[in-house]
Amino acid sequence: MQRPSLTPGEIIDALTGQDASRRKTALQSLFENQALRKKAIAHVRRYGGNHQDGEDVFQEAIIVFDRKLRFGAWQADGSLEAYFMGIVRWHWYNTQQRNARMPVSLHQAPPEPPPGGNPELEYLLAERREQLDTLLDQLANKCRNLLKMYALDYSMDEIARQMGFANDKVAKKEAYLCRKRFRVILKKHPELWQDFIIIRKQP
Amino acid sequence: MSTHPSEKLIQNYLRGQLPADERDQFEKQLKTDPALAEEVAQQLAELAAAEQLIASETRAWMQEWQKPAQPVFRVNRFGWLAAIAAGALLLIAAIYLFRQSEAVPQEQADQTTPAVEKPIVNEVPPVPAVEPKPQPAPAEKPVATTPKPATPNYLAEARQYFQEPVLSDIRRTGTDNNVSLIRQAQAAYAATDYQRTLDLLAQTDSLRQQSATFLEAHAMFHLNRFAAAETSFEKLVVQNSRQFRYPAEWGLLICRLANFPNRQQAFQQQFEALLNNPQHPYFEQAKNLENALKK
Repeated sequence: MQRPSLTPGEIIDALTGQDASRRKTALQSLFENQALRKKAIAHVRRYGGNHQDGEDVFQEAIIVFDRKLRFGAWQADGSLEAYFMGIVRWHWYNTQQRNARMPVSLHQAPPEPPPGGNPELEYLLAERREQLDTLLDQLANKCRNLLKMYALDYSMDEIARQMGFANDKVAKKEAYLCRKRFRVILKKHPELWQDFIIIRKQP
Repeated sequence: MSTHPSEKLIQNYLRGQLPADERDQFEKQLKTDPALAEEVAQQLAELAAAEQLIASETRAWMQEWQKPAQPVFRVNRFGWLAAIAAGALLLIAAIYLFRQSEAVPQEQADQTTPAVEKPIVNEVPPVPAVEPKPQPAPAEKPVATTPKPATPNYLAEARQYFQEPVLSDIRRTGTDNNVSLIRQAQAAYAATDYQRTLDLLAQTDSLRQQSATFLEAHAMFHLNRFAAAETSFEKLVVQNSRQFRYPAEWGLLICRLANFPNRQQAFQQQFEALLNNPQHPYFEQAKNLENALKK
């Protein structure tokens, strides 16, 4: 990665760590990596997109990259930049297919999906985004923030600091209550998750 | 929520972090244990929701960073002279504008500050957000026009007709600290820092407060979270908020327009009802929107 202040190792540590400000710095470092951005945009332009498509794909790739790193998908034996570009290629290929903007098979061999991650989760995030939004909106902002920080695996101390709670015990209790509240909402909307039980039950 | 002892195991499974043998064993168990399968499916949905929030936050940050991340202008040796000249011109213009503003009478300045307790619907008359367009010959009865699929850009129309809130119009609730936070959120909103607006509103833990919900809905709209913004506006409509009811109804309509074609049916129903109610404060705006969509 280009930004001199953060090495690939530091980026991985920051994105998988428990420090909110370091995480933000790492994401900004990726976002401001002009060499990576140019590569992503060049790829998209080479395969039928324009500059804005390239910028959009670059930004979405950062989100996917962050998620995959947090889920432990990246193995230390490869290049982080190559991994990122794998996400760009995969994301752009899928975008083209979804939008049917061009007969992609004639221009571009299907790229390898970036390894790791959870395909069911990716499916939910791609196809049921609005339903998720509707459910999330039934939570107070405070609960949404807690749910987010819990998923980021922040320590209860960090959550308490970020949310202005008195201590980690309060943070833990609040996080528990918010998750419980969200579960109640989820149970009222089995259409969002029920089919994943059926899929698993199949031999 | 389950306090199942294997919650961490489920999380690791969902995050793809189990070793192959443990994963196989876990999947075998899933096929024979419906309760566990249901728990896993729900945790998956919870994880997806949390990841959606994380992605939204990252997108908002990237929006913030967008400006400084733009390529730096390269200026040649003559460019410096041009830059100095432009700076001087700007300075002159600023001095001129400053002197002009000093000449504005004080009472006129006072009039621009709305009363705090006055309902927003009275303060913001149903004036179109844009200059009214020429009206066609009036029909006997207003009829809603369903936007045709060929109509180019609903999102652009929605943005044009979206009405900004009157930021100073927040009810005071004694010395409640929430009011201070909401005012900070308003300042962030005025500075177009919509994610910070949401962050500040989050600290108030006052979703029930209508002012917070109203501002939150607007910030979400600007962050392109139309479904969420729609829900917030809808809450105010359902609550029949004296202060925000009508602006919220308009916001709701515009969110549905922005979310075309997903919310086409809901938009159409609401739009027809509004156009059939000339007493509605947003009737004129609806007519203008109808004309714009016809075009």
